[in-house]
Amino acid sequence: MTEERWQPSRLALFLSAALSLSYLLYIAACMFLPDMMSQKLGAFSLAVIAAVVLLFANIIASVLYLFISNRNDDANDANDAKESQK
Amino acid sequence: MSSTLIAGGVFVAFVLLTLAITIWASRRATSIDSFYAAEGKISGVGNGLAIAGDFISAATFLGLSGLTFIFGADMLVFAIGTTVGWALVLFLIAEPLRRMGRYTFAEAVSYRLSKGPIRVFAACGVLVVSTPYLVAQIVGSGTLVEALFGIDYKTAVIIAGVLLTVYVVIGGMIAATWIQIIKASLLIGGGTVLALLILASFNFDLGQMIAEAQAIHPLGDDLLAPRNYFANPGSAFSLGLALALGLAGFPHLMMRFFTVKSVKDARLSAVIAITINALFMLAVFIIGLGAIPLLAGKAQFFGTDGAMIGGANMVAIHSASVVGGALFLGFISAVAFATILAVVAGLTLAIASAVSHDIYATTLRKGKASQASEIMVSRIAVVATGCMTIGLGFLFEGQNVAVLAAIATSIAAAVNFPVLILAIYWRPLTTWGAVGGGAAGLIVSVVAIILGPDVWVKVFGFATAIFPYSYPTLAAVPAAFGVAIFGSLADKTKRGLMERGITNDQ
Repeated sequence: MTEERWQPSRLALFLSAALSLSYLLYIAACMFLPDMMSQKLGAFSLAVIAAVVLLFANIIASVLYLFISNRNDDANDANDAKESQK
Repeated sequence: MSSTLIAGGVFVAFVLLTLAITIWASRRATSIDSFYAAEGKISGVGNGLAIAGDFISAATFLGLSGLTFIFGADMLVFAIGTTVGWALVLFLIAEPLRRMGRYTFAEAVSYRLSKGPIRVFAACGVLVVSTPYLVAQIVGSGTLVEALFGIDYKTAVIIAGVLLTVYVVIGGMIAATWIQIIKASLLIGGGTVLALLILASFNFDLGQMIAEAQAIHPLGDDLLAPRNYFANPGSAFSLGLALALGLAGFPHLMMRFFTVKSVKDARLSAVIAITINALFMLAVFIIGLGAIPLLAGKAQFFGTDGAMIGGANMVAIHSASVVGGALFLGFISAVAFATILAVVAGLTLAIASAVSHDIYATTLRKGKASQASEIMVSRIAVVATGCMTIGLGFLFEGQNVAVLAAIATSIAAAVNFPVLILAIYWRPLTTWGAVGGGAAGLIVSVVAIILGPDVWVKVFGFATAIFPYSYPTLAAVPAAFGVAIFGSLADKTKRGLMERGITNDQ
């Protein structure tokens, strides 16, 4: 296993930090600003709408990561194959 | 035909189907690779379904729909927490874990460290984390069958315990995985249909459903407001941290990444699990909210004391009866029972592999055990776990399933997650730093749970809790990280210095 294998990609670090932070902010808003999060937006409250947005943000981020990581792996494999041919 | 007979027929058919799969799997499980890791032949999609099936347990489907029914929008903190937890597993854990381990969680943790102490510690961690989760599932199964069929609680626990033992002893990981895949598909399909049928009862008008729920619920308009469930912000943050970090600390979930053939499949598994988890949580939220007006005023679901039959955990099951009739009730209840059974099978396999592979084959026999003897020890461990589970199921009758599951998740976040993440990414980690960190996480978790409101106040009867939160994560995770990091840096033993040298060479 090469050294860089142990390092998470910048994308993985960015997405991990962004999703964790947004979750902590959601909890903080619910706990410290309950009046704001209780405000109605149509039939729902801001707390419900923010939660649904966060859930879909997690799905989109993970699909994005899958495609980018797989594409990078394919590119690396192609480079390795070229190197070995040389 | 009565609804109980129909439900019983569907349940028996489902059990027979899963047993047939187990026997089929046993013919394929001829080697140690197939018994523990399904020979790495499970597809990414199949493994994603199995992982989602492992996590979507009684606590998720039954417990969270009940939580929404009582407390409303606070359930969404659980929903987002588990989804973020899966995302962190995808970004930081799945790929290196797939590269580092072969059969067990302990192998991945001990990849760069001294095998003996780490394997024993990690195997103990598996037992400590899996046991309360196992108890939560078996108590849930007993309660469900007792409420549905009128079978005695202890008989229901024995049936579940025997079935899980048969599944795992005969079929190993292949059987456990295929049962999870089928069960997850049916549960996700059934849960989605249940949510759609509930919405159909309100002409697919979510606004109308929510308005009717708010009109009759004691919380009124505050049903969709936060802070109905959480007593204080610390409890919310502690639970959030447990959910986000605890998934990576569950060995029975992490060892599923060893069953796929490539890193790409491991990533795809995690993405499928995230998507299913997020969408299923939304379906559970709709089920919990819709059940409020649907079940109101229906005397058949409430006892003479006014309490719901089977408690709030039966909200989804009773709702299935209202919107889908006896057949759908039978389907949902059978799938709910199979959910518990399949999760217990996965947990049992994790415990069995920790005992047979990490403690027996690697530590006691120093890698010289034959495959046949290792599988034999594993099967003995499965039978012993089955007996222990039945016994604990008797002991914890009537305990709150969701609390037990959340406590298990908190312990997983404190004991296993810090050691795993440091083993993967922090080079100076030494064997004694890892063992000390995990032990600190465990000790602080147990002490905080005992001194917390659920045990100190509710069990021992003291007026106020010494540790203010139900979940110990806020104290235990920093303690585990702190001891692991400072313990490693302060480790001046010959082995510690050598390990840092070896690690730097990698």
